[in-house]
Amino acid sequence: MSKIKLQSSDGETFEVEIEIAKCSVTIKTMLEDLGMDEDEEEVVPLPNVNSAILRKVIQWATYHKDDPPPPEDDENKEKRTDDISSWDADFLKVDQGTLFELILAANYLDIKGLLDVTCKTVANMIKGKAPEEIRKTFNIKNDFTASEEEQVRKENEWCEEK
Amino acid sequence: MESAILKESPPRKKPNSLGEINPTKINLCTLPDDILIEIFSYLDLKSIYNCAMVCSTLNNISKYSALYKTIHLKYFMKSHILKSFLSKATSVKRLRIEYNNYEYYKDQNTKQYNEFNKYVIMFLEKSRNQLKVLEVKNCINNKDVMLSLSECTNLEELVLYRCRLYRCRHNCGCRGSFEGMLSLGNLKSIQFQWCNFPKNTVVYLIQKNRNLKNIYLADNDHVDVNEICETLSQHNLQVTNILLNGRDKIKLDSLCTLKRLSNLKSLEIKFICNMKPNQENSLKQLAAGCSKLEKLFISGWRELNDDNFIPALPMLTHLTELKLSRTNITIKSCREVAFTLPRLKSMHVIGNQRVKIDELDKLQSEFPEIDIALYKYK
Repeated sequence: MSKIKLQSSDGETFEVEIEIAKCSVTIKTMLEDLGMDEDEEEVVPLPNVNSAILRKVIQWATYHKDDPPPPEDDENKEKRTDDISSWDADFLKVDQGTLFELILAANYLDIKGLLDVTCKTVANMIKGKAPEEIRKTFNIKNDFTASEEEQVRKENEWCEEK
Repeated sequence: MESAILKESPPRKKPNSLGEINPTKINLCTLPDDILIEIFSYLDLKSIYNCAMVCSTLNNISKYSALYKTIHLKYFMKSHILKSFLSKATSVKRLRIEYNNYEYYKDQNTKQYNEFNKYVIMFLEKSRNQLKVLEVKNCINNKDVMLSLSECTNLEELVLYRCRLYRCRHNCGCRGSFEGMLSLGNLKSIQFQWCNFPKNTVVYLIQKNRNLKNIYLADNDHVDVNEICETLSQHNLQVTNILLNGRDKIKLDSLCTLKRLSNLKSLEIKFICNMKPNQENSLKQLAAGCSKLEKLFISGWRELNDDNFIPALPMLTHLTELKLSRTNITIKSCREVAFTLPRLKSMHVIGNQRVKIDELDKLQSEFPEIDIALYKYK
């Protein structure tokens, strides 16, 4: 199995099977566009991903290398968030900073499966929470002025019970 | 991202994900807008509205019209929410409309009913060309809603639950407004329960929609299940899922016609009666035709017994779920099922009078990998 080297933003290089690296559409296109010869000792620089995150991404991609390609979004169905596999759920038991960095990395590297599951995880952290609880969970500052807040509250107050 | 079709795009004040981001300061609100929208796309509307109250960044994101693809209109929603849906939702794909489920006769013509109804009609008018899925619940004596169905020509999934049109005093034939459905030709799934369609409406609808895959018909007036079976076997060979629960019994002859549906994966039927006692084995014929069946639920077929059930089993090797109730099978059939069907995951047979619980208990211990659903009865 041929391998390539990926270099993180902080200069660490990782040797990865080419098939695993290609789950990133960004890397796949890069290899194709540049016509990189698989025999060459070339290093792919990834200036937007640090070594800690790249290591996690490679771990995820290695576990999921034999997965079928993720299905296209079906317009007729609402998106679900309760279908995260137990391996992924364990893998994503990380602090919020790491979770958000994984999202950014998945987005930059264009790995749909990883982006989906990380976004679902964040969505699950939001669902069912009141605004104040959401602020607390994510350490967000309320930046509305008093009159803005009153306005926003009026517009978005949700009540369907009699 | 569908940003091109957005009407109101919040200003892009933050760098996109390719830009520089200081990793030590990442939090939810510093994520790029396109990622926040992706996260929001997994949220229900109530959660989106809660997010809108958190801070100005999330408030901005909550205004993206692409988030409003699924809208659920409920009778007791405040009118400012309905109004805000209407202004944000420019590309609704899935619309669920739920009227009050009780005391409708008292409610009609009240201020609240008229207000809600006004929004429902405006929504249908606004989104009729993009709608793929429409669900209407508890819509009683409301011609306008039924008539506007005819405009939703791209509809693929239609769910009508307790939609009823009674003859009004003016005798103007309002039940006929159900026929608005008949201009729909792209349906893949229909699910109707407790509706009082005029005669033949559903049969015509099935004939017109040859790509139907899912058919769920339960407790409707003037839907003859026998006629439905025959229509399906002539017009809709693509069907994969069928549930039929009519007020009339399904005749074995009609049931047998379903054997032409070779793509059928799930079949759920109730109340079957045997017209000719000496008829050859209908279930066996059905099983031979529908060789891809994965789910089979049968209830109320008294003539089904070990002698005619067991011979059908070798043709049902794809079955993963089996549910039988009110038949005359015994534990002999159940044991045979467990032995013969390699993919079976669950077998619910408790509602058959000749099958005893202690016998099933024993069978469960021999086949722990099959769920025999005994726990409910212990």
